[in-house]
Amino acid sequence: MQWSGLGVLASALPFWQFCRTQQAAPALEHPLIFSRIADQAAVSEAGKAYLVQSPAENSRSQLASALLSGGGLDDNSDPSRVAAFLNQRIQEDFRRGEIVVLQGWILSRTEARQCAFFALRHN
Amino acid sequence: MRLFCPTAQLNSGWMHTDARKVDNGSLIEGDLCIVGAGPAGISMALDWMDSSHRVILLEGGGFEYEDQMQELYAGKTTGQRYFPLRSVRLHYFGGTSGHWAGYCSPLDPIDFSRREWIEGSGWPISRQDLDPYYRKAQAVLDLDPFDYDVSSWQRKNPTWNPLPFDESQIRNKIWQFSPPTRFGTRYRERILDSRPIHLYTYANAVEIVANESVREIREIRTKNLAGKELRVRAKHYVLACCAIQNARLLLASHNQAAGGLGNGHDLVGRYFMEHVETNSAELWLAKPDSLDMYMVDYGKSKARAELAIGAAFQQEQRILNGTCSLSPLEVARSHKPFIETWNEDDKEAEKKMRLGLLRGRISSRTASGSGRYKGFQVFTRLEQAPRAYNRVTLDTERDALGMPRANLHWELTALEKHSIRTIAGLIGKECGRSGVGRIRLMEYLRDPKDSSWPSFTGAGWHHMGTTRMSTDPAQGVVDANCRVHGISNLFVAGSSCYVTAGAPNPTLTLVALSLRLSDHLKSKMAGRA
Repeated sequence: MQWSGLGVLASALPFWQFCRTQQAAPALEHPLIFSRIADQAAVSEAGKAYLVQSPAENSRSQLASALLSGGGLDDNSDPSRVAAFLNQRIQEDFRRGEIVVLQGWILSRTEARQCAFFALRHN
Repeated sequence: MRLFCPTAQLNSGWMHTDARKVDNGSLIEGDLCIVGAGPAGISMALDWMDSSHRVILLEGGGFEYEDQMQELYAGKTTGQRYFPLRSVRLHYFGGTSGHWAGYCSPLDPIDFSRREWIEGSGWPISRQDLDPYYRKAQAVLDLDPFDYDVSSWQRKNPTWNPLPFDESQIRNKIWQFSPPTRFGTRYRERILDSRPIHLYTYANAVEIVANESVREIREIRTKNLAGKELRVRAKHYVLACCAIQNARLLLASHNQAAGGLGNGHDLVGRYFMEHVETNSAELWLAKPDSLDMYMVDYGKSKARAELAIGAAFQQEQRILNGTCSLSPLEVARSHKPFIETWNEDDKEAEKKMRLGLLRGRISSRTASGSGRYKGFQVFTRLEQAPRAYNRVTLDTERDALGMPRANLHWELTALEKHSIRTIAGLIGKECGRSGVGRIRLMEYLRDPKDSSWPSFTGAGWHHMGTTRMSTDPAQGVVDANCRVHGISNLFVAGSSCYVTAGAPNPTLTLVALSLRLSDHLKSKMAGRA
């Protein structure tokens, strides 16, 4: 599955299922730069590896909470605002050395959490 | 029979003697005897072309590659997987420049300094001391002027756009490319036509003979496979046979000094160093790019940049110095690691290697490629920490001339691996911070607790150390002027004098160091030193 198919997938979800899904989820599970480089399988593998490294975060709610903390956002915030916030946080992570190595990929902790969110949501 | 520079020969402009054809036991006399006609020895000899002194240049081989000459270099290796000693150096006039790829860059100032996190680091000379000789070495190696300034090369190459990294952490280090200069063909006529220089081919130095007090060299004995022996006498002697053979000759000259000449502190042969050269990561760009600045079109490019690590970061992280080159993954993946391209069983590969057809001759782009790529191979070249146990020793087996064969023990440590991992991590961090893309570490670097090395770990065919430089005879074989401690007229030229290796290929620096020694000897012979 290619990343461009995500929007189609989301729009194809039944309404009842969409309501159960956090509105911010597309941004929470979409590491912007990493997803231009890696396919979904690689993102999912990186996400699973993160969950092995950080078992305390092994739930979508835990991950959403960690991803959104400090931004004045919640999981029903506008996805574009969430994406902008997370992208900025990714750069800050790299600046501060908040880095994890997953399957060899050197990633920011924030995008690692996004990968994990993706893995949980699609597996 | 006494030989050297009869007037008729001086005027003839043809100063070459095949030592297989002289009378056995002949004595040759001159002012300066240079042992070895590779880049170090020839660079020095060229510097004496206008001299009134008589220079004897001894070469063990002839003008062409010969199996039986290479066989004299055969020896065993232990430790890290390594190339066959038989063919990693070339044993003929011009030496290993015969398969050199031509990569040149000076050492960094930090390479010369004492770094408390690297045991055995610290040269008794600085980068500034070498700068005037780097300038001269550039011409010898047919390079552009001594200009390694990034902005200067950017002005000449408008398509060069540096990766947007924090320059205090990762800077761009320029490499210039020699054609490459094959000393054997490039300088053969000039050496042969030179009046003060007399070249003897097939004159393998087998023993250095000192006076009774072992404070001065009296003569050098040479042999060849034709069974002819020569004795060479000069005021000053320079060993320029490469790191392994310099050590071998000193160690084998043990009739007057137990353990060999200059080896009172058991240092000769020790601190052998190589460059660790290995793939370390993949760089994946968010947007395809040509990264022109970092690419090489072999035979066309005059220069390119590599990613180099800031001195402060090296100190903070307590790592070795290293640089990283980039090449498109589709190109890099089509080549086997160098360590796997050359072994003694593969005669075809060996032939290509000796002809310089494989080593380093890899252009960064494919002929059919678009020129813009997303994925690049990160290739790290790293200095090795100097370790006494990495050493050249003599074997009990002897070569066809009766010389004990040289064995090499070479190991890598956790510090080299930690350094490669840390450097790749820094590039990963800068890629992320700048938004350029992401780095993926090679599998062998992913576990920080794993200090083992994969089988494809390569080296640069760069031999350094073995007669390291120090002002203290207990710490080094030669002093700051490359004179063997305790022996007034014996000097060593080339990379065996290196204290640390730096990241760059050694040829430029070893030529510069040889030219510096040459200057010193001129002063000495003029009574100024």
